[in-house]
Amino acid sequence: MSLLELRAIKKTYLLGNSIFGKRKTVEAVKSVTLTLESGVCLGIVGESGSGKSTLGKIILGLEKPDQGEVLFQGKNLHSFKAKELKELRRNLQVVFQDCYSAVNPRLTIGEIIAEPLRNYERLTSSEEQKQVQGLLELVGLNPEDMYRYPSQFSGGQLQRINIARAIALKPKLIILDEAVSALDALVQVQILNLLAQLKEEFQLSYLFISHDLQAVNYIADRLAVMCKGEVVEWLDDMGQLERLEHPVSKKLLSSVLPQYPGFL
Amino acid sequence: MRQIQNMKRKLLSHKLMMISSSIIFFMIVLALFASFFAPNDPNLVDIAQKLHGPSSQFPLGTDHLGRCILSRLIFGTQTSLGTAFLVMGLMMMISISLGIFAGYTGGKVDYIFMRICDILMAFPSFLLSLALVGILGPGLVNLILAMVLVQWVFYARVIRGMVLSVKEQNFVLAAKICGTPKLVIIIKHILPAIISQVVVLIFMDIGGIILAISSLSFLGLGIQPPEAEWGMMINDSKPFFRNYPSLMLYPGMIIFIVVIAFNLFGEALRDALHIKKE
Repeated sequence: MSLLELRAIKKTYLLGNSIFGKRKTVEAVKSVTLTLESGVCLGIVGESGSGKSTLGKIILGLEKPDQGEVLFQGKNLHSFKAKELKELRRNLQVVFQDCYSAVNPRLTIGEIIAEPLRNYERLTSSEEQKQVQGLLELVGLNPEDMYRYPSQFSGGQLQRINIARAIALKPKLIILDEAVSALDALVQVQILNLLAQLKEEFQLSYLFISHDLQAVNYIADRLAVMCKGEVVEWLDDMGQLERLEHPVSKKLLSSVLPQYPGFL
Repeated sequence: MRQIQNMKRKLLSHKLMMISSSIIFFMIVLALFASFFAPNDPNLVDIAQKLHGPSSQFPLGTDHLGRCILSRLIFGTQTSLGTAFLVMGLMMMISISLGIFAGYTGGKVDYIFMRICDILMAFPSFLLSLALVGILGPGLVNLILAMVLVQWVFYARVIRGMVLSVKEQNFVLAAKICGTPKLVIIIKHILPAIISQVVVLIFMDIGGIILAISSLSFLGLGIQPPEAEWGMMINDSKPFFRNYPSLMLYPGMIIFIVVIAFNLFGEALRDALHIKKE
């Protein structure tokens, strides 16, 4: 049984709010079928507007697909009652692109990281503190940071905090929605290294959504290229990037490679 | 140069804040200890002393029934401010809960809520409260009821808008994904994010509510005699306006000062919070 299975997912958005006539529609995701095995990092690349972020939202249960189903650990994510969904969600976490808006500026780092723990585990405050400090050390921050506020941290540090929150419950799958795109190159590499290390340590699976083939190449095991709401190309072995044929893949590839041939 | 201007603006808003907040504080103290400050019984009728000028016994003179004007003004603070705070409190209780509920739930609930708001907002609000008091009959309770029932829509709509903008932020989505229950999200993430704006809204608008209460009382629909209230005092002094304009002037002035103080305080508060944000 694969960890995540998408079957013919379709999502259409209605545009505008007209009473008369037919509303305009945008097909964000047309028909996506893909599977993700446990312990694998699947990269999804595509240009902006190709539907990859919508796909991420559907997998997270934030949006309902019009057609098709999302099977997570063999169970349909969108036909669940709230309570069962909560149990299922425990294994499904996210790291967003914008690390600044992903943390509540009014809470301390400790409160932010402890939020998932409070929802699922009944811990005493000293146990909770211990866990939070452990998580902070795990992502390379100082345990004392738990008493500080988000405004005192840089983007890279905040993304580490977001990662700490995402792995707090030891989930099976983490959706990385452009998780490093907003960071500068040096920090990107650090975060990607951290993610790779955590993946080894906790047998995590990643769904890495990005437009940056270079970053995807750094961490992903497999690759799916999306264009206009469809998966247009698959790659099971990241060593064969040059074999990509679809024009969109070529475009994404050419946007990375010419600068430093052989850098990757 | 710009820095100096900025400083000036900050200081000015600081000064405004000081002045307006001290007026508000003074008024609240006056209202709380009205019986201590008032030189006379505000409702004691003494026809023999009617329409007197200022004297040592009656610092601001007496009205057409010989009641002490200063005492009535001081006791009027109690009724006017108390009623305004009560109306605002009740209104906020309704509009915060409904606004957050509609904004956070979204979809059909939100749509229906918005249409109800549209219908209620199609009527001029003061006229609607006037009609409602007319139907319910004059009196303090009915006045409060009429104002709350009509005006909560405005605040609920504004609060719904605030909730909508917060709801889409990633930290709310992240909280949802890590399993936080709805009620906790609302209390922990959404309410703290909008509360400062709501407080500004309250102080910006409480002046208007004081004015509306006084207007309704002026029309004889609000607080009933012999209870002292500023709007009613103006109404009482109508027939004597030509010969004794001060009768109307004092309550008019005090309404003016209080409303201005609340408005300036609200504005200064808004500025201060904006400066903090930047």
